[in-house]
Amino acid sequence: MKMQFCSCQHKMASNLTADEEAGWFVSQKEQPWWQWLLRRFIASGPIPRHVAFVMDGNRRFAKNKNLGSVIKGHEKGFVQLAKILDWCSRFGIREITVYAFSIENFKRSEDEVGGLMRLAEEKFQKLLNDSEKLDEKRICFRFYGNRTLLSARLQKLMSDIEERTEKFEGGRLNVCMPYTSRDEISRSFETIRTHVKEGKLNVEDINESMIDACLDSGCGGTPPDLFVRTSGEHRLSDFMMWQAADTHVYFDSVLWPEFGYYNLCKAILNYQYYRTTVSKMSSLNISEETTWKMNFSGNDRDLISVKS
Amino acid sequence: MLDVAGICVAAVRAVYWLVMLVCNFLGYSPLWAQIAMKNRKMENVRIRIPAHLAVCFTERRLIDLTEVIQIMDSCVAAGIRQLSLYDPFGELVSQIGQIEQACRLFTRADLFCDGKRLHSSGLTNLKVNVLSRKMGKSALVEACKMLCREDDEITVDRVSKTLEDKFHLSDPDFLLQVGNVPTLCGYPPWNLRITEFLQTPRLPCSRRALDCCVEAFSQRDIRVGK
Repeated sequence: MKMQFCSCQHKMASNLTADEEAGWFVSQKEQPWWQWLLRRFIASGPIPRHVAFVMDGNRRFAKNKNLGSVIKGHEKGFVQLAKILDWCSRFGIREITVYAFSIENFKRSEDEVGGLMRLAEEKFQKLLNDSEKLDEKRICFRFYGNRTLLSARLQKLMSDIEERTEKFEGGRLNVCMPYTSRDEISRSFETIRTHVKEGKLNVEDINESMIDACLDSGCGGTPPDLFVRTSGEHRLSDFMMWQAADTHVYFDSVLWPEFGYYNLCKAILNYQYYRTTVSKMSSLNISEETTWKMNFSGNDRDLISVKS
Repeated sequence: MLDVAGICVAAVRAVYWLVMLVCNFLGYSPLWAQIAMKNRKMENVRIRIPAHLAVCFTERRLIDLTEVIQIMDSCVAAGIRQLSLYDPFGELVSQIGQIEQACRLFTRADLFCDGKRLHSSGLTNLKVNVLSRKMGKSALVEACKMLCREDDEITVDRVSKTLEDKFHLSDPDFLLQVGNVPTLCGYPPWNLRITEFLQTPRLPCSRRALDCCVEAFSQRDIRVGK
């Protein structure tokens, strides 16, 4: 069965056009019968609203398959991401967050970091150029992380994509780049400190909800229901540590470019199996009287309180 | 006679072939292959003792005071320097008096509970930190309040230092998720940056069980971005 699944996936990959392989969106027209059957079966149960992925294993994939360069591995990883976005959208998963580049990854070789930045520029430019597909899919793109560490050109591309897709409500894709959770939390603290210094906030009003609102995910994002990490590593690697504190965490041993439909189904089935127990655990949290929201439009941010 | 022997051999071969086929089909290695692979792997692995071990109880029924005291002893024997016991249900905090007594009489460990020092003796080999949900996001909220009262810019290092100084929260090298629920139950999120996780159905309180977990930790590849 496993072999059949693999051969079907390879078949699907070979069905992709060169344009689709290079782009963010793969064809929505056809799905192999076994994928359709599995989806119908799994979708009869609860589906996570938001899934966060740590796309780990691209370099090991390139090494194992003798691709010659680690960048080839990252390219394969991107092709897989586009397929997973399509599969998730078919399952009805509304929000996806991917860990594309960690601030720690700047420690890697200049060649690899440069190659990754070029790949990101190329893919973001392609996304902007693909106006027709963007309007068809209506997916809102958001970028989490400390953008000041990136080149001016990349920063501009990211802002343009966010602006272009801001009003879309067909789904949401959060790309974390260059990101670490600690950096995100400390930037959120700094935003609050600035508000306190300006006299807009009282220190005693600070609560979890306020920190939540000041995180990168505060602009319309939700906490993930399922956290998936590939490549057999069992750690968070500084990814969404605040948001995933009570989330279902799922580890898979396959490398990211090999994370296929079968693996996604296993992750969702695992989520369904433990959903009630995990949600019981998160209900142990203390509820807060005042919730905070970040109103946003373009680059403008405004923190507002909502009494509950 | 020969035919019967031949048939038996063929039958054994057929059964073996079928088992291999089923294992292949399901994607599992047969048990003997797994044991052989594990032994070969362990021959090449240098045992690394985690300096800081954390335990996260994901099921209330698995919290047993006797086992908790036993694991403190096993940690001392294994050379672990710090043990954080996180219980989101608050059971351990409610029994902190008994844990303190055990620390004074038997384990000779320094004991902290939700950021407060309860017991300290000069020559201890183990620091035990009992944590409840209060030390999760709530501790970060408190840290944020403290830092917001100061004039300096808030950085990652300053947040880590505040958590360490005020609540004795530091990063565990290795976290044992005790129970079958695959979640971190609100474990202090800031400190899980590079922590390795291992899910275990029970608390590995005996020395032998703890050694098995340490072996699993030794096999992990820690890269921190590189």
